[in-house]
Amino acid sequence: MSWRDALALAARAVWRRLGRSALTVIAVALAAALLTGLLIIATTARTRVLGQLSKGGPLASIRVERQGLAEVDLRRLSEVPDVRSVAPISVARQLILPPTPSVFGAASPATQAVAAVTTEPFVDGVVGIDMRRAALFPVTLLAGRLPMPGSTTEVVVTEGYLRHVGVDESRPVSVLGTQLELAEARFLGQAFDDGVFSRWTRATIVGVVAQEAGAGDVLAPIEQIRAAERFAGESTAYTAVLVEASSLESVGRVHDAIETMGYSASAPENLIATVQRYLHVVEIVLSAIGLIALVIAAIGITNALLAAVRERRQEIGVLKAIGARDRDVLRIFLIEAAIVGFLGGLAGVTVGWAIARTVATVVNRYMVEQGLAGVQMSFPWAILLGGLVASTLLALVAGALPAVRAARLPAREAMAGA
Amino acid sequence: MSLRGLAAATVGFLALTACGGGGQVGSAVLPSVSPSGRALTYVAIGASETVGIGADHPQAQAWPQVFYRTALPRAAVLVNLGVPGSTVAQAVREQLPSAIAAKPDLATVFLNVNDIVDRVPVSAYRADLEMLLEGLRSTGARVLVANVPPLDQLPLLKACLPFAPGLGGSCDTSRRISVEKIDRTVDDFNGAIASVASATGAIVVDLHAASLKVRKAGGEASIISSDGFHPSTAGHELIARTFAAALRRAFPGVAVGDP
Repeated sequence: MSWRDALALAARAVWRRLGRSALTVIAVALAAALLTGLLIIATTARTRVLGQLSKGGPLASIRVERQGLAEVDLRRLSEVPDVRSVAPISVARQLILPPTPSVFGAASPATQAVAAVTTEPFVDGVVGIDMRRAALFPVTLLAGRLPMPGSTTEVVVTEGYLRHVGVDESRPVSVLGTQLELAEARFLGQAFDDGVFSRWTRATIVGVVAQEAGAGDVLAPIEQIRAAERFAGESTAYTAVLVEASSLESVGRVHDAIETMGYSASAPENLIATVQRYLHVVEIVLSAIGLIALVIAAIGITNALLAAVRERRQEIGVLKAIGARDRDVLRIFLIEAAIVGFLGGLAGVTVGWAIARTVATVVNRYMVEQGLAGVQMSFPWAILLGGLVASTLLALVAGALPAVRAARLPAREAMAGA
Repeated sequence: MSLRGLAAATVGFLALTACGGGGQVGSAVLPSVSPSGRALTYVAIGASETVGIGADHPQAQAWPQVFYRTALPRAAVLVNLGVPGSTVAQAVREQLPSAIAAKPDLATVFLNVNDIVDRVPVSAYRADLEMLLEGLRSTGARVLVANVPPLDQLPLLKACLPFAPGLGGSCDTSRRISVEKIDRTVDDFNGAIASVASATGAIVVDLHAASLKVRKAGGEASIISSDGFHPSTAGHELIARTFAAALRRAFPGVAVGDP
C-alpha cells in the first residue's frame, strides 16, 4: 500500500467519525493554544523587561568614556577580543527654537498643537548617533520613526522636550511634523567685543524617543553634530562610545579589557544576567503547564484511537484479507493520529497567537495611558512552527499503541469479530 | 483533502497571519516629510539688524532668520556673522574670513547705516564695500547687498535735530546735521552701493524704495522699533521680504516659497 493510499484511507476514517475526530482535534487545539499563547506572552514580556533594563540598547553593551575620544580610540576598542561593534556618541549644546505660530507665520495643526504657550528659545544638548547603527544605542521609539542615516533635516525628540514646550506627554504624535531651528554658536571673545557667530539649521521632528545615549532632549544623526562642532571650532572629540560585546557572557571580559586600556567603562550585565535567569525559569514553568495540557490531549487521542480499533476490527480484517500487511495498517492509524494532531495544532497555534495579540493590545493601551512605552510583538515563527510540530509529533506518539494493536490483529480474528 | 491542498492551506495561513514589526510606531498618523531641497549655505554679513536688534524675539525674528525660513530650502544652512555696530571696514576684518571659510552659495550684506553714523567718507565706504563684495565673489556665492533705507524720519534722529544722535540714545551736541544733509548722504551711499554692486556682479536689494512705499502707505511707524532706530518685528519681516523678492528675480532657481 502506498503512502497516498494510506493517507486517503486515514483521512476517510477521520471524516467518517467527524464528531469524535472534532472533539479530539478541539482537545489538541486547546492544549496547543495554551502552550503557544503562554510562550508568546512570556517571550514578549522577557523582551520588554530586558529592553527596559538595557534602555532599548543591546543587552551586551558597554558605555566607554574618556576625554578626547577620537577615531583612533574607536579602532583600538574594536580590536579588543569579543567586541562585535563600536559606535560613537557626540553631544553638542545648541540653541533650540521650537515652533510657535507667532514666529513661524501661519499655524499648521501640528504647530498649533505644540504652541499652547509661547515658547522661548532654550539651550539643550543635541545628541548625535550613527543612525545606521541605531539598534546599538539605548533608544526606544515611542512615536514616529528615527531620522534617516546622514539626514541634515530630521531629528527626534524626547519626552523632556514635550514637557518643555507644553505638549501632553501621552500624545507624542502631536509634535510629529513640526520644525525646530537649531543653532551652534561661535563665541568671538573680547577682541571682537564678545560677539557671537551662529550657524542655524532647520529640522523636522520625525519621532519621539526615550533615550539614554547622552544628556539632551534632541537626538540627531551624528553628521549634524560634527558639522556644528566644526563651525564652532570646538573639539571634535566624541562624548562617549558604545561597545557591543559578542555575548552577554563576554561582557565582563570586554569590560575589564577596556578598563585596563585606560578607559572608563560601565555595563549593566550583572543585573541583566540575573533577570534573564529568573525569566528563563518562568518560561520553563509556563512551558511545562502547556505541555501537561498537550499530554492530556494526547491521552485523549490514544483513547479515541483504541476505541476506533475496537470498532473497525472488521475493516482491519478485510484490509488484511485483501493483502494489506501489518505495517500498512500501522501506517493508516499513525497517519490518522498525525492528521488529528496536525489539525488540532494548526487551530491551536492560530488561537494562541490571537490570544497573545489581544493580551498585547490590552497591555499596550494600559502602558501608553501610564506614559510608558508599549510592547512590540514580532511574528514568533519559531513558537508557532514548534507548537504545530510538537502537536503532530505528540499525536503520533499517542497513536502508536492503538496503531500497533490494530496492526497485530490477526485477519481471521478481526473478520470473526464482525 | 489531498496532501498538496493541505500544504497550500498551511502556507496560506502562515502568510496571512504574518505581521511585520517594522521600525515605526503609529505610522498611520505620521505626516509625510516634504522634500528638503538643496543643502545650500547662506551667509549673512551685517550689523545689529542682522542679529535681530529691535525685533520682539531677536533670535527668531531677525530678518536673516525670516529670510532663511521663508525663502530658502529646508536643507539650507544659515551662518549669521552679524556683529552689532559693525561698519564695512570692520566686517572685512572680522566677518569676511569666516564667510569665505563657510563656502557660501548665497551671501547677503546689509552694512551702511553704521558707516553713515560713524561719518565714514563715501569714498572709503566704496573701497571697503568693493573689498568685501570681491571677497565674497571669490567664493562663487551669489551676493545680495542692501542699500540704505530712508533715515530722515527715524524717531531717534528727529528727537535730536539739529544735533546728531549720540551713544546710548543721547544727542551729540558737538555735531549739527540737517534732514537735507542726511538725504544727500543716503543718496551718495546708495550711488556707491549701486556702482560697486554693478562692478562685482552683486544684486542690489532696494530697501530704500521698499521703505518709501511703506511710508507712502502711512505705515512707517510700524516698521521702526521702540528704540527709534532699529527695525521692529514688522520691519525685519519687510527687510526679509525685500531680500526674498530680489533673490527670486535674480536667481529664480534658488528661492522657494510664495513670491
